[in-house]
Amino acid sequence: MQYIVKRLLIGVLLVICVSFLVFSMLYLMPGDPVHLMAGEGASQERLDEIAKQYGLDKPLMEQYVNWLKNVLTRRNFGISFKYKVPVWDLVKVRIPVSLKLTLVTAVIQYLIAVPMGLLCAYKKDTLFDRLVVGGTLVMTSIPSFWIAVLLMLLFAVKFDLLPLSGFTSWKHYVLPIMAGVLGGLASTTRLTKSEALDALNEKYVTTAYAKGLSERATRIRHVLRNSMIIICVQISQSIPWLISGYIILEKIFVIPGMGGLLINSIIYQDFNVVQCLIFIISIMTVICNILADMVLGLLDPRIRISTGGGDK
Amino acid sequence: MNASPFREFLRSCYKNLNFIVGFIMLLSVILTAAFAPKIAPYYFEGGNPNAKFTSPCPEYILGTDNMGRDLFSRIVYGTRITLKVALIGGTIQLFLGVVVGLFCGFYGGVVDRFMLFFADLTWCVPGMVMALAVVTVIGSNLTNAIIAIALVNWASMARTVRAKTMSLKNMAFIETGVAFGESNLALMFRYILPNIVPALIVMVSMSLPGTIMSTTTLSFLGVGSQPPSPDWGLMVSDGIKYITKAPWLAIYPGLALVYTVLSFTILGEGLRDLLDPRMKSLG
Repeated sequence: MQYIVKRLLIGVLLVICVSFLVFSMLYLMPGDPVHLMAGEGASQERLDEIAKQYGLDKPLMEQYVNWLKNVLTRRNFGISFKYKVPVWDLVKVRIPVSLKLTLVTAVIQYLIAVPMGLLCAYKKDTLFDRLVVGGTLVMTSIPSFWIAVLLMLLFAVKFDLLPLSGFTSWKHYVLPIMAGVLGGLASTTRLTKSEALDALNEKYVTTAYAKGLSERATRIRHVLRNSMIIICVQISQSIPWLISGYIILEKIFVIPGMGGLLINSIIYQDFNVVQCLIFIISIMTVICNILADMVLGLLDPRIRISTGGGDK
Repeated sequence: MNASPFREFLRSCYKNLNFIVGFIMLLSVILTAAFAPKIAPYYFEGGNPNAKFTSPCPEYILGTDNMGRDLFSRIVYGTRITLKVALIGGTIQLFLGVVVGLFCGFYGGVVDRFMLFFADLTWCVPGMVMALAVVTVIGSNLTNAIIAIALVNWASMARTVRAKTMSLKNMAFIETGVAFGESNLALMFRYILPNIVPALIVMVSMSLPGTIMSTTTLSFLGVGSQPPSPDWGLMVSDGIKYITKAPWLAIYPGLALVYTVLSFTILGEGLRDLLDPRMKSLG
């Protein structure tokens, strides 16, 4: 319990540091939001007025503290310079879209990759193993945007089964999810395989065999359970990374999620939106990391003891 | 006659299939880049306005794009950009990783804590998001995209160098160096560094595929190379606009990219088996 509280406090500190870092980076940005809002050829008085209205004339530290106060008390991330609406209204409808896609992708990906990796480890050096290993080597060398292109060509252009882009019916989900699953499949399979191989070489597996435990029982009780530790950690940590992977896919398939909004806001230098999205993504990352640690503690009691500051 | 260590190394290279295949693939990429003007039948700019969207034919082997430019020539010239990304990006990461890792591992203490906290910070935001933020601030072009990706990726290299330095600094040969009155800098760069070179070579070759793919992705998203550069990421993203009309525009640049990345991946696997067999695949 003490350990979790400590982790949470560090997490909060990390999020605040990241948001300050991003805030000061955007503060130093060459494009000036005041000019952006006032439009071409606005007078100096008009510029000053806008700067004052949005608090952009204050020093960096004061601006940041004000921003943080607004965010924490009223979920007020400011106004989008481009769309002229509150940032939170813009962002809140996009979070569920991205989360839904990410979670479905993660579930499908692990349902395929974990059994495949385990099979590879059990059947090491057979034809199946070599094919999968060769396949994953090629897969890790394919950037996700090109996988998306190939899927679009195959299913939308050649066979005309699924729509190219947009986001209105269930059919629109299929291609992005497929691209997302294929993008992460290879590395998860490789990780599972190497973890399971490590577990297979452990002495407790030899002991289990020696005492006459069946092949099946050994694999499930000893190998699977021990290799699942790292895999579970990987799963909970990969969710924010999947969200960032979806930045690309959301752009290609024109999905109204956080990633697409982030790219557009960066291009238009809409810095309140960028700030808000990075804030949310970093919170999710921290939460997932803490969850990963908790899962790790549940599955592997040794870790709970060693990182919790002594056995109490 | 005793076989020299170098000969022995060559012999083990010869036996390592991954190394040979990766080396030959990479060599073909490098030669293509070096002799690009000789190989490409056309220049990468200024197409034939009467030959827009020509499908692959003997005159234009891989077809032409929306401005009538020969796709094959553009892909050939694009090789230079990709190798530039690998070279510059790899160098920046290596430099930062080695210097920061050595100092933190050698001195420990406050510097080390600060560095670890900073590395934790970069873990807090996915790399692509961080790189996008950096590019926003320093501007969208290829050099900045390379810098952004390197700034995001160097921390993992620094961590490995730090760990290796920490385990080496208590060994007897360092004590000998101290006894000889060597300065700390000399200890770091003349005693410790040579011992981690094999691991460094492996780390760099394993990280290059990621570096190339992330930088190309930035170009694909429109915040890296700008038109009319024959950057493969940019070409695929332009190709998507005409995907129903001219699918070859999105297929072939991507294929070239996969071939190049694969050459680095396979070479990296081979080098790892040769130089650092105990290091685990990074997945």
